[in-house]
Amino acid sequence: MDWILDFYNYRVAVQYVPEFTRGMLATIWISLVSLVLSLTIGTVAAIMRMSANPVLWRISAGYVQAIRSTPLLIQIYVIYFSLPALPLLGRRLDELEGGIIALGLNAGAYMSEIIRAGIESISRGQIEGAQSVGMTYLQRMRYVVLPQAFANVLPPLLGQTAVLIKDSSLVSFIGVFELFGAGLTVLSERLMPNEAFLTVAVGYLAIYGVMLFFSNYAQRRLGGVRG
Amino acid sequence: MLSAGWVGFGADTMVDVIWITMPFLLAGLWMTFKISLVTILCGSILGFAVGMLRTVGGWLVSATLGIYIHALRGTPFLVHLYVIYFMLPALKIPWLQFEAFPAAVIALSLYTSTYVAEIVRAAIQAVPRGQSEAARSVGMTAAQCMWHVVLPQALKLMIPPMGGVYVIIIKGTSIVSVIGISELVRAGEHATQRHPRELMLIYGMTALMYFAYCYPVLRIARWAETKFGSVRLPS
Amino acid sequence: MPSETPIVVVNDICKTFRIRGRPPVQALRHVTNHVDKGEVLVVIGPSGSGKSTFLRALNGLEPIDSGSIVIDGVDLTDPKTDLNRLRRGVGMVFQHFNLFEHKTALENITMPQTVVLKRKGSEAYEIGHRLLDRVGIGDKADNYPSELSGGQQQRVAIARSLAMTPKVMLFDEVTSALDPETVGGVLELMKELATEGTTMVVVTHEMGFAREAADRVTFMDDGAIIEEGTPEAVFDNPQHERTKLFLSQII
Repeated sequence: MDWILDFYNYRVAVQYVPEFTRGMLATIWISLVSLVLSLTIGTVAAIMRMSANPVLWRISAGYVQAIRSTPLLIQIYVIYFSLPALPLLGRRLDELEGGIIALGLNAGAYMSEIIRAGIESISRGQIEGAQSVGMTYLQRMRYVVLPQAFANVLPPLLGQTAVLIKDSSLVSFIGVFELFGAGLTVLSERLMPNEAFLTVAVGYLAIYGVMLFFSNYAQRRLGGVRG
Repeated sequence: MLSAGWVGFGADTMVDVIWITMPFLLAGLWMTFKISLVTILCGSILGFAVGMLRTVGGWLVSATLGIYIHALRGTPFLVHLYVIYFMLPALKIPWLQFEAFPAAVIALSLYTSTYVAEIVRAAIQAVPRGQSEAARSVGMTAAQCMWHVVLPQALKLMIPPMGGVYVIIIKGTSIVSVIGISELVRAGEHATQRHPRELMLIYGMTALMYFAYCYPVLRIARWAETKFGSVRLPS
Repeated sequence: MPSETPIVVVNDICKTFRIRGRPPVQALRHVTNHVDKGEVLVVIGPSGSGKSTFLRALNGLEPIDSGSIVIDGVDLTDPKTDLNRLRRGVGMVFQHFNLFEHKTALENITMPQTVVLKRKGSEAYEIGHRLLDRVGIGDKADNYPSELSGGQQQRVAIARSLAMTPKVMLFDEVTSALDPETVGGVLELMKELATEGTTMVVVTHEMGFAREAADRVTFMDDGAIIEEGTPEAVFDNPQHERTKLFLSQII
């Protein structure tokens, strides 16, 4: 059985269980906060993009285009290095907050494209139905358009969420500790890449598996209602 | 015009910094271009094979390749890169002793292949059943039907999403900077170490170069989509 | 019986559709009309005659180019008018139902009440159930629109409009998209509403309904009102050639 220990010394991996756990929780936390941020940005950008006001839709289109045409790593660096110049909340933002902002802005652009497709999938009749009972623009969006739009594009939204979770590994390069960072710790302290990165891979796969389960569940539920 | 006093203490103006760093950044862009081109080729071939096998193969082949795709899709590219770069050489098998460049290309190609495989499968499934039924009804074999009827129609559907994959690769190459390949991001980092005061300018230039590379590809992909139609990828 | 107070006053309205690359279509040419309280006005005419545009203009779904529309004393064309507020008082039933696909039949009726009229949930719920019973599908309260037949969906749509207690109800070819066997039931329901004194404007191809339920019939062609009068006058003794031609083609 020596070759197994040679390839993957689980005793070492077990020693680092606290780090891996901390990293896993950090990855989940970072992803969740970035997800909420990205859905908010994405919804606003999608609505702006469909607005008749040329200034609004140009801003939104430019944002999406800029994000889609540049790598996330550059976006993370730019946000990180501009943190000192961004005294939000009256204090300097830390690496974690910077990383979350970068991830949220990045995913927000992709989410906005998906959400826009969702809004466009809602028929004119649904909007007229809402208008005919006297709903205001915001009420129509809130109660009629957006709930159906999100339901229609739930699968791609979940797919983009999976991408967001994986992308969150990049914030380890600006000094944020998360799951991949835990692997980097093991690599630098023990020089054992297998124990470091195979364990990390299993952690990400576990999150991915849960996502896949929810995705299938949600699709079955929606499929049932919509026939 | 910008005065020297506004940008710094007189050493280099912004224009100087642009002038000095430009050759390095362009060299980085060239490396990014090379890696992305090699990767789209290798990744497409591998992905096409995986996608075809997954469509026409039996359940065992299909399930195995499904695991391959999920394992790669479920983990960050960064993990693939580190595994291939650090781990495989540790196995001490001579032909797995990678340098940074082949490690980067292999990791990126594997990553790309999962996207391409899904595109191939979705495109083949998007060709109406009636097409293959008609082909079989005139006596074509399954292979003839695939080659003469289904694939020609599916290929058209594959073109638009491939543009999107190409952009994903271009942006993905930025990550291989962390194993020391001097592509665009790495070149930018070097430049910022030399001109730390112009950090935002240099990263801005880097971002613009990515934009200049990616944007046309995205536009072509959009144009192709209106021309050929597209398949929606299962996520 | 119609009284003499007009709920809807339409004065000289025009509307031209301009779609780039196509010749402009003049959908409404100087249309003037009115609807009294409790009156049932049926608008008939060939396809493309502008009758649907006329109806949609009455609740501002189709903005008009000139003229004025006054609903219960409120000028719809005044830029200061809150269209959403005005629409609460104007019920509209569509050809394709336009039920909210993500809500059950009951929720389709309760949601606008709670959101727009700020009614309490329990009150909206009670009204919803009562109206579903009224339109004859009380047992379908918890079904989604996709699980209902066209006729059932149209009944829910009528109930949804009624729940807002509108001053006038607009019906836009509400039976055109229905299976033949469900048309009769929906028309029957509309006749009941008419005899109960609901103010209604109905655009329809159902001449039998027009003859039975209308207080007044308006015949439109090519964006203009050609002829109007009691059902007997228009159907049995049409004055204009175009009316005669239309009636001969449709009956």
